[in-house]
Amino acid sequence: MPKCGGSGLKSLFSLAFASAWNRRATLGLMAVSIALSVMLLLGVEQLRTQARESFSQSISGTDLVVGARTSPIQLMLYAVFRLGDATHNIRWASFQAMAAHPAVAWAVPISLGDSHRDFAVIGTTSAYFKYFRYGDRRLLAFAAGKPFTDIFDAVIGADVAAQLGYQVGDSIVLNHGAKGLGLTEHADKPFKVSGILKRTGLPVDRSVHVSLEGIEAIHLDWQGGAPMPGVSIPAEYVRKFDLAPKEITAALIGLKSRAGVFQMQRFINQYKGEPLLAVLPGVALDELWSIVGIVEKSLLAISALVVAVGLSGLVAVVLAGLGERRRELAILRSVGAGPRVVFLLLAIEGLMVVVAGALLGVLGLAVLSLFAAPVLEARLGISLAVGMLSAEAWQLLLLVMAIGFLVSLVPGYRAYRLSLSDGLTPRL
Amino acid sequence: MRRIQRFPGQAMLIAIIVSGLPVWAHEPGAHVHGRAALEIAIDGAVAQVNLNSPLDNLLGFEHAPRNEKERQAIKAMASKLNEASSLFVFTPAAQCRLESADLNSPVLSADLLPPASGSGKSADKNSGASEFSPPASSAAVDAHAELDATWQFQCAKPQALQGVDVQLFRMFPGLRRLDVAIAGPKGQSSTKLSPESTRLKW
Repeated sequence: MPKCGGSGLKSLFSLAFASAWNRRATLGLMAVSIALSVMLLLGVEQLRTQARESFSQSISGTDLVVGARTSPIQLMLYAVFRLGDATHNIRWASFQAMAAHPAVAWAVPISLGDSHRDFAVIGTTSAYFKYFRYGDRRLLAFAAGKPFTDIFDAVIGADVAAQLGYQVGDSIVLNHGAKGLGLTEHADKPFKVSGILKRTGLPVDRSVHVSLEGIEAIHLDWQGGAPMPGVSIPAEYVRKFDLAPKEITAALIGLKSRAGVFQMQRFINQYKGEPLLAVLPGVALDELWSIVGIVEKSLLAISALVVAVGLSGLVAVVLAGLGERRRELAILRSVGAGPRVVFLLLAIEGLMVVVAGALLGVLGLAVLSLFAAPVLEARLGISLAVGMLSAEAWQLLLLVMAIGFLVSLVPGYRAYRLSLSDGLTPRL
Repeated sequence: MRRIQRFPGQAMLIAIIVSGLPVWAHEPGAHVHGRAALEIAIDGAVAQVNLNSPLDNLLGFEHAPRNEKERQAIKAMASKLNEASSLFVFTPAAQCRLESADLNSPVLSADLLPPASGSGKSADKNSGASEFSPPASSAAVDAHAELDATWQFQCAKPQALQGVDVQLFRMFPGLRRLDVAIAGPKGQSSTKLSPESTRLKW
């Protein structure tokens, strides 16, 4: 009969498994409920860390983001992540003054506001493809074609190309304003796809990039956000007009020396021409996370509570089952199993259910994130790495299993007491 | 104004974020007693530190000295701030040395804030394009005044530089919280320091 030796423990495990298999419906349901709670806990943790990562990856090479004076976080959200609206534009002259500053190595203008189908249109210069860096200081790469050279050239992100099936050379029509807002089309001035960018996992994938002159050109015969009645300037004549941009939405700035970043920030914030705001993207993101952190922590606390509910459910089920199993335990006692063996048997059973539930939860999360990843990326610009658990997630998982084992000692102890008092003849 | 419509999910995210937006303590113009802004930029062997603090945190008052006692208080503050090696304790292995210290306040005359001994040149390089200029002093209007301090350190072994212990709280008990922005070799970050947590790592 099993004693607490090596092979004894092994046979204890097989005995516990065989006994649990007899009650597989109840215990299986218990494992599923633990799996669901683990899924929630790890899902929240994964979303939390990966949202943070994918946001900070988006702007690794930019020293300063400049826009009209607003909250630093709002500026970051609309200029970098295309979330929300700009309250004001900044003048082209201000951008030129900043770009000409001796401390500035490069400056990339960004003009937002138009769209193509569901995708944002960004007016910029070819400097965007030369200087915009993301992730581990990577530059944007072209999957096909080249940067825009003509006024009516467009460079599209990977998602735009994939979802709308565009190739280099295709003709596209931009919409004024955003999708679903009455959709006034710039149909008289179609753009030609000159390049398709490689996938980055950033909002860039969901953007259509055109030159600032292109943005000016399609609005030449517009006034106050609508086409001027009776005025139409054909595409072939727009080159005769002054297409120098008057306003942009924001600017990304790279400096020659990192040491000058705070001085440059002060210079821009004190710019006399108009009220401007310069933020250090990394600093603004940390501030954002310090606020979102409260929400994050409460979400994590709620999912921890759900795990606690799952585990106490497990204890309740095993405890309730004990009454029916007193005969089984008495038989075990009659063939020579000590009360300690009974205790171990119950503890092992609880552990098995917790581990099975936890593994099922990890598996379920992987499957779920496989389906959720494209939606999250499209809606929130968060790229979710599928099937990868962070070190913190592993720690949480181990913690859940450890606590699961500890709580399954409770029914084990109860069984131990029962088998001492019942001995071989349970009074049922 | 051209507009881009948001997705419902985005709108929710923004609502969550914006509803929690506090007033940023280091925004230009914010003057909160007990708080101060610290900026640290590290580029190669040079570490530049800037402190912008309400004078009250450092002195207990915010006006030009009215008597000898206040004069002495200002001089004591200036000598503490000029001894920046004991205010900012960088990783010892990096062997960082104070190069220059520069103190500035609109209500205190320059002779009350002498430069650190041995540093002739000012660390302040506010000499950019002509459109950019320091803000006009509003001290006389709202009776609040700040001190702007810039220190420059030179490190012999910058690759060993991993962080700094900020001793400002011990020297100036009026200071309760520092909003820190760092532009370091591993990128930008921001954090808060208090008398209980004074260490910065990057």
